[in-house]
Amino acid sequence: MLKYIIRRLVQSIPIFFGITLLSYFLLWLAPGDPIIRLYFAPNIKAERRAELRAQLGVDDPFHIQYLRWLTGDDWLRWDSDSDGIADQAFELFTQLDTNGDGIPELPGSNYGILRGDFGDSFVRKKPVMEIIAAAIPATLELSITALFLAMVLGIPIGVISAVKKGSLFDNVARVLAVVINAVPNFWLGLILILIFGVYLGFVPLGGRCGLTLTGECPPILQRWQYLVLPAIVLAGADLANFSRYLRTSTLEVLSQDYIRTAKAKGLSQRQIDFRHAFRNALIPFATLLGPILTNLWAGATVIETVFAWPGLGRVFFNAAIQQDYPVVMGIVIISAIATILGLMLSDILYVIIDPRIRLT
Amino acid sequence: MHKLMRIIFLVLFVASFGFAASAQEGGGILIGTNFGGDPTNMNPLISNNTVELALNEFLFPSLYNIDPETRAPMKAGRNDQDNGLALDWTISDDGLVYTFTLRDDLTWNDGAPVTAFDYKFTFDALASGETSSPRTDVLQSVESVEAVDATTLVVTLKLASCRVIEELDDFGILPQHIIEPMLDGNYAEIDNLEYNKNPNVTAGVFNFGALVPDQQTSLIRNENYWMDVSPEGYIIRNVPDQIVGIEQFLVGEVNSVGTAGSASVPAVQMQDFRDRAEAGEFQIYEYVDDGLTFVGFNLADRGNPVNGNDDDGNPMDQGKHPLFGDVRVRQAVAQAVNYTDIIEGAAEGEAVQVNSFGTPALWGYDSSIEPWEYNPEAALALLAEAGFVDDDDDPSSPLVATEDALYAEPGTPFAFELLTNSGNLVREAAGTVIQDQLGQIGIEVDFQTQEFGALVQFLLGQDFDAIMIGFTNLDQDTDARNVFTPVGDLVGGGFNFVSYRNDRVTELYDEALALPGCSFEGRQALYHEISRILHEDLPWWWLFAPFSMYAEANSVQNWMPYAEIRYANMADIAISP
Repeated sequence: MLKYIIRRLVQSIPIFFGITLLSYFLLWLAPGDPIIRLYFAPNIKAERRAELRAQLGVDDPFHIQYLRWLTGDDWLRWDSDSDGIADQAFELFTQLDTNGDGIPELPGSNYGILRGDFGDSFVRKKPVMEIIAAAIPATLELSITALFLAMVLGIPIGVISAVKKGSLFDNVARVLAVVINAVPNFWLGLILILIFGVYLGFVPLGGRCGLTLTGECPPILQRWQYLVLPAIVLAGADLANFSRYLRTSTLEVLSQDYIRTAKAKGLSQRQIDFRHAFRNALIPFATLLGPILTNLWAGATVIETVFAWPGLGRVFFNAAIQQDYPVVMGIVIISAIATILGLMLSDILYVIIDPRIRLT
Repeated sequence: MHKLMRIIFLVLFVASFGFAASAQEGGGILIGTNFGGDPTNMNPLISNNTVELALNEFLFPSLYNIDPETRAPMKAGRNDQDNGLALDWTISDDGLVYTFTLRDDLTWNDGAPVTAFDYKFTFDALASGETSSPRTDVLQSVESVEAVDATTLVVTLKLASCRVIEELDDFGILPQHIIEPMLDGNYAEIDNLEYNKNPNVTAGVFNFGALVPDQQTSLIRNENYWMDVSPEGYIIRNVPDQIVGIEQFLVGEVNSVGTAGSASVPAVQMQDFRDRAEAGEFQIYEYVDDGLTFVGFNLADRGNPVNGNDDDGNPMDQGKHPLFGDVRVRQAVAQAVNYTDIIEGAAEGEAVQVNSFGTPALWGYDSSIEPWEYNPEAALALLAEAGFVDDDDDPSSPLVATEDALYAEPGTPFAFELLTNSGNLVREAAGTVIQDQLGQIGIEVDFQTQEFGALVQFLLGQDFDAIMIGFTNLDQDTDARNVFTPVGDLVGGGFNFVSYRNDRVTELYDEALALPGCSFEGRQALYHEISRILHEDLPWWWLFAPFSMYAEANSVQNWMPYAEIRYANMADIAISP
């Protein structure tokens, strides 16, 4: 097992670099730059915009920007006169003119993401990790609630559908699952806001908590009405998928010989369904855990934007619009790592749950 | 299933009680909405976006107050969005020395007085060139700023500039006693101060409260303000888009649409808001915006964009656009479209046609000029004179150039590309109207929408035939030398992206800038003359200025709004529960 994990981790390295390269390249290809977006006004002169662009290094060629982001530039310094102060720099990269005085500074402040330095946001002027760390609790709160809802409702619905195959419950559940899957979640979110927020006034139209002058958010139990709609919408697609998946795997299990044997032994239907069928039907479900975690995050980007939920997805959306490369790339990296680890976790869980499977 | 439905309804029912409780938290607090993202830098030297500028107005003092009615600089007076220092100022005979007398009763919220030294410190930081401040225009004309004493400020100019009075007030004033010790003599540090995210020492109507990313920014009543402040605080709620902000207002989650710096009632909802305000549901205030939408014609050869002047200031040969290089063609196009259709069809009727640069909201704008009118016959006659005719009597095919055309090769079809930014529904609709109506007289328009960043690249790269775009928040002083003189004709970055050159216009701008005494009437007359030339020359095709609308809940009392100045009397506003 350990060997397998190590091999998978090693295999993940080129995948990880591929993701960073492709993502950075796509961002770089996007027309415009952050300076244009921030300073598009007649009273800001071309020279000033050029200075600001040089400060961020966004006018450098792609490979330089990418390498600087990846590896940093502090290691390019060297001490020419052995006085203990790094006073020269290799000219491998274009040096940044961070104070805009027209003279490039010695490199040294940027360590690169390979050493955990995600850089500073162009727009928010804060370390990227600080921005991400501030947004993660809100996303976790929403995602975990949605996952909980999806599992608590989706799994029983799937099992009951299978056990009562062909019944009215089964048919309704299957049709609803298809409908929920087919409806775009942003649209569903807007419709629910309209009905329950605007027309009925049951829930607030967005946000994570009420407005106060101090900006404090009370504990979740005192503001859960803000969580209801986004969690339901985010849970929707997974709930539908869980129920369909469980229905299929339960049906498959129910046709197995050992179920027949259990029946022949005289076990009650309830014991057969929940002791034998349900537990075995859950085995393939474990493989979904990795992709589920990734999907929840991906779905949260849209849902957080629709519901003004201040999580990582909203940060990502705003950063993408503003071409705030360090923030976008920071979130891409974290998502990539989460996806790679999530898929690996699925594989490992599968082996743990089903001893017949061996990892090679 | 029955149980499940019951549980869901129970959850929603209970949720409604929870929400009702939280809605009352708004109490005596003014709550607005913003869909432009969080403020990221509240330092008045560096801040740039709408919400940052709106916050600055309530946190930092400025050099003088703007008269809310005329929007001109005002000696003394009151405007809570400025909290201006100047009681009076004089200008030397040669126009090179401005002496300001400042009030002595303003204090920072830590008790220290706001003085001329604070202004000098702020200006020096800007003049150092080490900050990322975009407000560097003032440096072109100002030689030095000296604080003679706490209440006397002397500004010496390098060259006379009537715009300098506006430029000197382009930034809020920083507290020297707080900021200077943090810099260690290095102004570049101003960009990185923690103070920029948490300006705890300020001198406006409000103190900074808290910024909750992607949720809200709050300001709290300044108990040390020079007069009593009524509202307990001001919260700007971050909403994902304009529509959500409107709906939050209509259900009572917020009591104001937009912020101090943006009106935010969309054109499509203005009539509904008017009706509902008339029925007493809430209060509104309408005005003509200080921005305009236009089509910029590329007057030069887009195949070979070059700057207007060389490094020595001599004119460069920029070639001519085969169609729009000829003013008659531009005038024909301006008469070939029904403006009522554009305003009604695209801007929901919530706009006014403009005749030249600016809008009726600006004092430099000349409302007496008749705007271009729809006259397709005149347009066709003018096009024929310019050498573009219908050679096959087929109205569905484009006109073609004859030998009389000034810059187009004979046989060239009259077809061009019109670009605008995607996602702006008003411009997209206006572009469709233009495409349709120009098509009716034999002008083929390839109308395309581009993502904003891509559009700006075409625009600043001067690689386009015609571009529809808009400018907002234009200065009251309609000096647009960066836009209509060769000094701004820089490929890749200048705002004279249409490559317009008219020596008389350049002369008039220079004259208005250096007019002895800087009399308002004298400068206005010069701007009006420029307006008339620009109206005829049509480097831009003048389309419309939108209406803007503020909306406040009835609970917001004592509200006295003005165009572009929403809360001049913020300290008096009372919000009833």
